[in-house]
Amino acid sequence: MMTKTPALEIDELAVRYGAKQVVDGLSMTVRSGELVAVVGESGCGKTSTALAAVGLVKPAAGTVRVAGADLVQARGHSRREILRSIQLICQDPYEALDPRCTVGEVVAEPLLVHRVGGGAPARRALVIEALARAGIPNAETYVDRYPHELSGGQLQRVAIAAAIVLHPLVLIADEPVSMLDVSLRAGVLRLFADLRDAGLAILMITHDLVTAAHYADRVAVMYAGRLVEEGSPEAVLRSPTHPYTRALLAAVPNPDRSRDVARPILPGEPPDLLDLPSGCRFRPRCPLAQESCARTDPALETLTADRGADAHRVACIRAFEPGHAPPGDVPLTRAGSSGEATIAKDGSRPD
Amino acid sequence: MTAPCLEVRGLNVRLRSGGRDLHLVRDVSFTVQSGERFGLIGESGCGKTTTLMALMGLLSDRASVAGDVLVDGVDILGDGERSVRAHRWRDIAVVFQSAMNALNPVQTVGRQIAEAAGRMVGESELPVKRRVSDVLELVGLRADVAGRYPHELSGGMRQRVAIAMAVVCQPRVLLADEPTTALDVIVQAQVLTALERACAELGAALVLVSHDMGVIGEVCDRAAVMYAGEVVETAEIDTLYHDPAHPYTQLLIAASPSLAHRDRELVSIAGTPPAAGGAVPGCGFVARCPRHFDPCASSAPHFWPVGSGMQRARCHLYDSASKVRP
Repeated sequence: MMTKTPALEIDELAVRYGAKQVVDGLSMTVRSGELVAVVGESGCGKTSTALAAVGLVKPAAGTVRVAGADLVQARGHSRREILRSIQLICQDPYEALDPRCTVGEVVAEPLLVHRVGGGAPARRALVIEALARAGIPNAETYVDRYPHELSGGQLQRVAIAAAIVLHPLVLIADEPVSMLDVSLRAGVLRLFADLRDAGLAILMITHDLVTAAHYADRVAVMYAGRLVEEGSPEAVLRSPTHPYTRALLAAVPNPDRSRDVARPILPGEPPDLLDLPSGCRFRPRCPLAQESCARTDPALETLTADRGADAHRVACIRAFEPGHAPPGDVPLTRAGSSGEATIAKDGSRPD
Repeated sequence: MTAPCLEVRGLNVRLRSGGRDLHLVRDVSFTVQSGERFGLIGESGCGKTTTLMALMGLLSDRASVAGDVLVDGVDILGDGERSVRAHRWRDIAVVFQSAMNALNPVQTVGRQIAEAAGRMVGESELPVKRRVSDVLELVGLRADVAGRYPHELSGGMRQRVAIAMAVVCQPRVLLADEPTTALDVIVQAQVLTALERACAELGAALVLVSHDMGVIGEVCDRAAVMYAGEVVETAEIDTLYHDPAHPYTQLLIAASPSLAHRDRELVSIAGTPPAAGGAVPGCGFVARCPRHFDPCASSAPHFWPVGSGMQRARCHLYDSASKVRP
């Protein structure tokens, strides 16, 4: 059955704070064993999407289904059962963990809340097992330690252990490595990839397109509360089609960028959600905008013949015009690239 | 040859804390020419922000700063706080990471920039209002932004206002501490462009501090990599990126995601840096270094030249290549 029903299915989700509609008609699915990255700038609605998915924000409209069960409509016991299978990992592990609780207490809390695991010895065993799955070596020696004794990377692994101790189907990770030092990020991201390989469905919120490209099976780009492009990292990064995706890619710092060419700058700011432009929301900043863009609010449409869940989709009317700039005309390596930096010359890697 | 715009010689910062003497910045030296963009790369706790704060004379009284900081050949640290104060903002200015905290929420942006302009010694031929609009234009903002309050601006606009405040007195040296860390890539591109334009216009030296190899690589001409309070490598940016010498730099680059090389598996560096300011007999990186060998744990490596260019690395791997040196 799991192959038929996606682990997470968000349909026409709308999130509203007062008059501000921060997420507007967003649909996406994440299947078991899949890692989907949602990319966008601050304020685009990606965190609100995450909060709605785990039931921390009540959607104004739309459904969130976990293994087919609708979280938005569910109440009482059935809602708790659904929430048990979808867990959130926050951006800042320094703030997410209570400094007065031991690692063991932090990881055991979901077990207590959902009354799982029986007595203390059984709970302790589950906690140690979750810490080990989160990549903490000698997990039993960590159980009685306090957060201040751990490094940022270890703290984030403890937060992940607390999220997976109930064996959920879906993990939502909101910028899980942006607070960590660069040298520790790869390890934590690798852990998400391993959990994905072990069958979890993972929705990772990030503003870092490059990181998304390294680890995701699919990338979804958000702008002003909407999805504007979605597809495999290969499709979205190699053939970015929405002008916003192209601008995002062009803005990624590139040490090989020629100094003779001005850095491409996308002018303006995202629209005021209380005063949206007519038609396409990206129109005021878009280099391709024309008159018709003010009349049509573009829907996400499939670019390729493949109409499955992995299809490359884009919300831009100009992308479907004959003579539209062919995909792939955005060079990923700019002038002067001579290949990657050498790693330790004996090939050793410390992981 | 004329004096470099900024010359830092043997900068040491010690902090007395809880009865211990923490050596946070160890013998840091670098020079930056007029118009040059110099990067300081490192992870949290490596001493890069402490170095900047020492250059600005903004460290607490419990910190002792030794060494020379020369701006256009003039020692600005001289005899302590009074000396630095005469130069701060006028000759050397800084842009901090969080612009929201750097700006006064109850004053218009224009008023704050005008106030900053008041620090300038001597009369300017231009009226203050004109200088405010000029400097806003320099960082890519419209002149009418002057009438707005910080909360009315986006994060990227606020950071550009902070840059405008830092450069309104036309300093010779502009320091920027992680100026784009909290921003997304499109806003980051706007802010970096504003920094570059401001420095180019003034002919100022830029010192950009970041943990992001991509940002340093795109903006800077040369860079220094810091680890555990020391500079462990300096090089021209292309060399640093494509032929790094120090094992730490090599791993840092291998740990950084790259759009061009996204098929590459990213590495993480095992272990954690030594506690800040502690005394280490050998190389500070030895515990995490995949290439360490006999001398690394016991003797501190020299800052050896590597190859024929400007590259230097504090690493025993380059001992043999430099036998001619003492």
